Amino acid sequence: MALLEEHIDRELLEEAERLAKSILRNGESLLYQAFSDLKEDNTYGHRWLFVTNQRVIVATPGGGNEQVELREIRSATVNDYTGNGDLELETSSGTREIIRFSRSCTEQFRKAMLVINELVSERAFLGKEGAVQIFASNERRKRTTVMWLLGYLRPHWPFAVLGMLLSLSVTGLSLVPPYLMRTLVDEVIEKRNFGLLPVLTLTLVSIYAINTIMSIAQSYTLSYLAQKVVFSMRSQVYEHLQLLSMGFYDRISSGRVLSRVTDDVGRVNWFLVWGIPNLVINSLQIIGIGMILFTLNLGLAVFALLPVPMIVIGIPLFRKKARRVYHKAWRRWADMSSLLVDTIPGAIVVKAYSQEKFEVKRLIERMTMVVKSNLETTRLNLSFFPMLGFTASVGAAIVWYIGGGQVLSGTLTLGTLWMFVSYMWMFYGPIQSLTNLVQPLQEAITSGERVLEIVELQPDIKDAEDAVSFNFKGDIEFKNVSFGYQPYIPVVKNITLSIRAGETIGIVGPSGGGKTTLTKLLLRFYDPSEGSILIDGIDIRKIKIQTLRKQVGIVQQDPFLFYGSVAFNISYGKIDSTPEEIIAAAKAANAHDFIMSSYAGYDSHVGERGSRISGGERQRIAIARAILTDPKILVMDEATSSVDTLTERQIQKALENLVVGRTTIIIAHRLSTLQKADRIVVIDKGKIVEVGNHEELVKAGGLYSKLYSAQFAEAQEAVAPLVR
Amino acid sequence: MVTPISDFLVQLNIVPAEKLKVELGNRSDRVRITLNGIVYDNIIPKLPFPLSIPEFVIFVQVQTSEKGEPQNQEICMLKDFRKLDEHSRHALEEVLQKIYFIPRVLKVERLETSGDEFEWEILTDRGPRKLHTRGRRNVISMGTRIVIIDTHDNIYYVEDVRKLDGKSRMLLETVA
Repeated sequence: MALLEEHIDRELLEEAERLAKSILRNGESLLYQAFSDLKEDNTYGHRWLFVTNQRVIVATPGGGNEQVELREIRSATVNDYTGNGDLELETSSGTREIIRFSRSCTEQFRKAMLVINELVSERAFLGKEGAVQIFASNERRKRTTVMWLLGYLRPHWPFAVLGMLLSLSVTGLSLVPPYLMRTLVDEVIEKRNFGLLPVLTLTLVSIYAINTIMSIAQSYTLSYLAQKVVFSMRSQVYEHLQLLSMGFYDRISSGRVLSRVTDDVGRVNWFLVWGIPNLVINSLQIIGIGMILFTLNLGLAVFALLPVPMIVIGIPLFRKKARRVYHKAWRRWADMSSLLVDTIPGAIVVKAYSQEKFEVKRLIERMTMVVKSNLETTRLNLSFFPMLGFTASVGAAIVWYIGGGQVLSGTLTLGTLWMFVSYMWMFYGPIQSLTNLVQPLQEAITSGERVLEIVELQPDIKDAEDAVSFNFKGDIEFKNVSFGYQPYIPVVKNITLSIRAGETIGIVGPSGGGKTTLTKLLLRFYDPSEGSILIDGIDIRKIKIQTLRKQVGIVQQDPFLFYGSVAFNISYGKIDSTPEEIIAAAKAANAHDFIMSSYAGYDSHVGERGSRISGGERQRIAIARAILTDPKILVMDEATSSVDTLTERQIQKALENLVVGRTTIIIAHRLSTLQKADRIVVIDKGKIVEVGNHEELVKAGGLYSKLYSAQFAEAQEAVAPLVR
Repeated sequence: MVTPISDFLVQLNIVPAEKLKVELGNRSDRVRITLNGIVYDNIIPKLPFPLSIPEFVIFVQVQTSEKGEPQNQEICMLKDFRKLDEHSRHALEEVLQKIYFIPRVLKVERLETSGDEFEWEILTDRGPRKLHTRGRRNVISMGTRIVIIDTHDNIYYVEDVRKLDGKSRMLLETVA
């Protein structure tokens, strides 16, 4: 999994692996590592922090390590300074700064701090996998990627072969006209052979005709192949993405996933259907024309090659420089447009302070920059391509001079010289395109690796082989459950709780306390690192995932609605539901009335991400979706926290319809939501701190009663100005 | 006891077409229905799925509370009003036509897709119409049916895109 962490490159990870191997004692296992980019002397450099089950070590790549035994450490702190920070350890012999780092690394060291504190407070939380694999396996070679990519062509091999054959024929045919030209000059014009002229002309026309038809067939075949390949690749990647566990989506942002599905697959597609044929065709052309040139006239061929070094060396250099210059031009353009985007909507401010002239001046300054950088791109283009053309022309002129001499002295026929010059011009094309191919080819292979990484990932959560399927009664039991998204940083610690079928349980506590994590564990988006969760006495790891998720309904704080009609969104829980069922679910969720009053009832569209409707309406649609399948267990995760009190009451009413006979878990921020719960569980810092009903907990005077009085006071304050 | 969806389903009171009689009501947007021998007046017929299942009707009785606020009560639902007897069906259709003005597109004469808004000139079963839509999101394909929602939330629909003439189809294909 670490291979997805793109901000740490592979070389660094290898360095860490080498260092760790040389430092670790026998029986010592690495629990956490962090990379720092600062040295002790305030300059940039590499330092590594290793946290093991015995020590905290700061390693220097050149050798020389500092270490503190865990048993000496009392606590760890991260201090933030401007542009840097440090990790401080409090030991029995005082406080010491152990490693410094720039702010780019702060996040890693905060986690290191958490890990160290967990370890030293003897709440040590060790996943049962033991030492977690931190290092990326970098055994993947470019070759495997290429082989995997070519595998996509296999099912379509007749088209691949046909495309290749057509490409070869087109290449071959394009080599014929210069040959005909020689015949024209030597046989027809020199020998005044009128009979051969129409034959030659007809041959030429037919060759062009055949070539045109073949080119059309070639382009169509290759593009057909492209569409087929990209289709199967995209659907494979997409299908795989749907199978991957939530853990994957937590680690890698959806934007990056999207870019892999679209951009990377696109680039790979380009490589397969355009890159490879071009690579082959261009190489063949170079070999073919080169052989013709050298067999025709060795002496002339040397001069014909004159511009080749310039193409091979010059074009990559040019591209490198061009990229910089074009980016610069693009940024200047962006500067100018951002000013417009700023000042035109801000016209009222500009006018209020009568800064019109100032704004015009600013814009003119930026436009001047745009003009300058655009001229720079023009100058760059002019500095290279005309030179390249000139070199080629000089080569041609030399060929003319020498070849002309040979024609005059009778060692070369005029036709052969004509033919030679034509081939010579044809020679530069493929060289140039081959040079241009190198970089996109590399990019495509990198993209291929990125796509392959995703396809090779195995979902962490899969059905067990002996997984069962049954109708839930609704008993839930958490048995010593511990879990952390990051190894060694527990979010939920040793939770034990049993919930009877039909009970309504409220879960409250400060945010970040692990409430939502519990529901994610119940739905098996993740598996607990320790302990187990049982439904009706059966470990959920032994229940088919589909069975589990069908019978546990969930409504989230900010429910996601898909672009589509209200009916589509409600029926998402049960795609084959009847219209009556959709209406019934909406009625149960107290959503029917507002749906009927919108412009097209259940056919109304909810717009982009549900933006056409209000938060409370969205919640109720989500509730309808959750209960359409009649789940035995219903989880409401802060479902009412983003709506006003009036809407909350409506949702509350909807809930009252639903909790009867269902096991319901309500996570709430507003405690008023929970007054009717059978039991309330208070969770703080991953642990259960109190359990009881509302009255009991208020009386007990613990965390719940504090939260309750705080909210009560808040409500009083809010009302006070109104009643005064 | 769990309250399953089926309980709510029963409360919907879905009735078979033969048990229901529909007549015109006292206002142009109301009907009078007779169900199991009981006459209900002041009924507004409503379509929960006006675009995807236009034959599904909910009969809502409008009453006024003591405070003078309207209080609506759903009397029953009918899954397919086309199965009603001839007379009832005509009466219901007349009122529905009044409440749901959703013209059927017969022809797309012109479609200008440059700029933020699409500009349409169409011929509908209710006559010619010029309209504006915003973005492709408001031209919705539902199988062979296409629903067009203009900038004022007026709704138009193409019953079966395959049955349109070539030019209209071609123009629609550029946006739907």
